[in-house]
Amino acid sequence: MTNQDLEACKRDIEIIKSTIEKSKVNLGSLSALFILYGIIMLLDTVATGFVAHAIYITQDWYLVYENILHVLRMIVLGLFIFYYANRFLKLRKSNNFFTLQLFGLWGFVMLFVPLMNTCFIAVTKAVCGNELYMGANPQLIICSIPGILEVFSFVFALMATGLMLNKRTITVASACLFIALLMLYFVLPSTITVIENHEGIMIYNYIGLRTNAGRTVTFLGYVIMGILLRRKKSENYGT
Amino acid sequence: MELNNLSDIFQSKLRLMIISALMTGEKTFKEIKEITQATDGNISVQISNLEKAGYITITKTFKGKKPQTIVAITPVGRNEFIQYVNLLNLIISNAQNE
Repeated sequence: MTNQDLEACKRDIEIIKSTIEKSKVNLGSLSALFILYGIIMLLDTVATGFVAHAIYITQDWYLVYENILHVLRMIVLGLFIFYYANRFLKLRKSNNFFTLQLFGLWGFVMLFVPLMNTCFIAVTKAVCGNELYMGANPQLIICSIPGILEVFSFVFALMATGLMLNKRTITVASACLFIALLMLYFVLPSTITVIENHEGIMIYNYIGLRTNAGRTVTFLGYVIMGILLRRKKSENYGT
Repeated sequence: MELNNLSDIFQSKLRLMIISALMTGEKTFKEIKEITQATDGNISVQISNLEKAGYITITKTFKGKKPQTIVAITPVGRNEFIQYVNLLNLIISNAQNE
């Protein structure tokens, strides 16, 4: 074994290391997106709760504040879409296929689904009026379907991310989350005994509880994912 | 002595870079070019050699109307690469112990 051979081996190791480093997924940009989105969700949940409980002076005032909140949601979502598009265009220049794939997947979950949900609520309010959202109306369950899609699309995207990054922790956590949400959204309702006189109130309270639980889970999920991705700024894709 | 057992495939710097890049997942021709900073001709020749050796697979598809070449490492290629890296590390650690 000559020194030349040894140097050649060391050189090859360096080539391998630097090449793998260059081909890694850039997760730093995605982490900022997650954390920001999680914070927006938290503020929205707090604001919704505040409107529901603290400002319930009269029904009319409640409706006014709820509609203002809904308009604010649309504005924030619009700003977020703009921010996302800006980051996506910058990432496209780097031509990193895997980061783009991951970015695209989460863009769909963070933007398209809530946008669909927001539009659905706006259209429903315009067509059916605010009564649909007030108390004793079982049709409220149907109106909450886009909200359910929002939560479950988050879980499925999380599962896909775990598979893409080959991170068993993320995949297993998302599977557990899926089961828990399945229980909360579909199994539990069938076990609740609805008392005849209080049917409307019970359904309304249950949906409120479910919505808040779903939002809390997704907000926590986004923030935790953001922190995890920030700590592991680059990951091997697949291996 | 151990160096004689090393695969000839990895004696080329560009081939080594291509295989290393593919260890993190399949790549398009464009991505390989970006990572290796080599010319189109050189990359084409080397990926052909790697395909003949059974280390990679090449799939030609279309992205819209644009042709796209996707290169992926095979299990054989992956195993050979891992063995090569292990051998390199062994040679270096033996030399350091001497």
